Amino acid sequence: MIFIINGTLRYNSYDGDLYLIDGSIDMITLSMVMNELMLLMIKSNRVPLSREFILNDLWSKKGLNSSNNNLSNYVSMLRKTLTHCGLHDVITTIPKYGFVFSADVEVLSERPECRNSLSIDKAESKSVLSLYLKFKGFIKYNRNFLTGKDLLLLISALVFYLFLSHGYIYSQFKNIVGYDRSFKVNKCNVKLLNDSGQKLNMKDVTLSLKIMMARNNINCGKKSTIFYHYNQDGSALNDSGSQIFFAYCTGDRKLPCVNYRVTK
Amino acid sequence: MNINTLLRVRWRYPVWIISLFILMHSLWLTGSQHQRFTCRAQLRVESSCSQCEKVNVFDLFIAINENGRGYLLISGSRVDSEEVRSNFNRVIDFTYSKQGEGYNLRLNKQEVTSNKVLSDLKIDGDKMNLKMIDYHRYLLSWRKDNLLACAMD
Repeated sequence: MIFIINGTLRYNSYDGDLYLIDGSIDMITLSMVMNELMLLMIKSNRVPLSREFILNDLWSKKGLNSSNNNLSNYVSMLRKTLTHCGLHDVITTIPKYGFVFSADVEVLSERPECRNSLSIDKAESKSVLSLYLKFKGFIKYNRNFLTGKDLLLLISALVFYLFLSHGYIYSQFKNIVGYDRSFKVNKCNVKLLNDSGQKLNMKDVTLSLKIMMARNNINCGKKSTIFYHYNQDGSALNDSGSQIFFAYCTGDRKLPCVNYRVTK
Repeated sequence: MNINTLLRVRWRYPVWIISLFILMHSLWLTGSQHQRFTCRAQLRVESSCSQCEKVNVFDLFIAINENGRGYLLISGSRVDSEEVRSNFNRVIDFTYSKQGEGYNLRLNKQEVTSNKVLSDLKIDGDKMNLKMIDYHRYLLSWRKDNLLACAMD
């Protein structure tokens, strides 16, 4: 809500902003508790409020503890702020009872105001600014309810997580085999493993695969996969005369993968 | 109680839940470093020399235990240079260290050097790698170009 107090001070209860209409002083933003206190007093204009009522409304209702001294400090700070804005003696102390706020209060708007003193013309910019102000207002409105312990817990958990996951994530990438390519040959799902970093002639690869499949009577069923490692030179046997790698894994988990190796 | 008060009071609960989730996930990451599983593969080694035509078949069983140890069981039949076929069954113990979803294996060196069957597999070193290739298959590798796909049980 936006209020005009004594015709000079504009107060926005949504974000706790106070500024003089004539612009003679810079805008002041109240802290969250002071803002709530201010709003409570304005809504009870000219009605005496007991200390118990204020303590209950501002703290006890939310499960928080506070004291008379604490309340006196906030009232004192609010008084000084209002005095700075030219509103002298609007808050009066009622001995052994509480406080009363007395001023001419006019409700200007029921809705929170998005300050737009920059006179931005573009609709898009307006909506971005509006969103930003709403987000800023929300954070400011809620930040005091996140205690230091909450934040400490969150930060500790994050640090702990990063510490553990750093090594884990690194090793994940380090020790998982990547496929160079995945394709189908004669209804077989083929996953090509190639760590040479060189471009392969896929015609040669496919031909080599077909020869291997025909040689070993492989007819792929559903979910069967062939893992194939192709030599750089594209020959069936590598230079050391050891083998090429060709593994046929069926979709049936009970069956082992059959690996084929050809040696000279 | 208005909606703003409700929002403010509850704003701290997501923080606690997020913190708890992060801590639990961290612990899960630590706990998942050692998992127990077994993996099976069959290897058919075909000699392609012009004057001979022989196929040796090996069954491999890899067991990864939780205590950083495991074993490799190799069984099958082989044809030696005198064309005599014989059955064999060998167990090779190893220790391992986990890296992500993969494992670095270190075989018992004495067993590697004294085991003639392993020469057919060209296993002459004591280091192997077990890397994940999909959600239930691993790729066992040793030396260069020596690869073997196995499926988890």
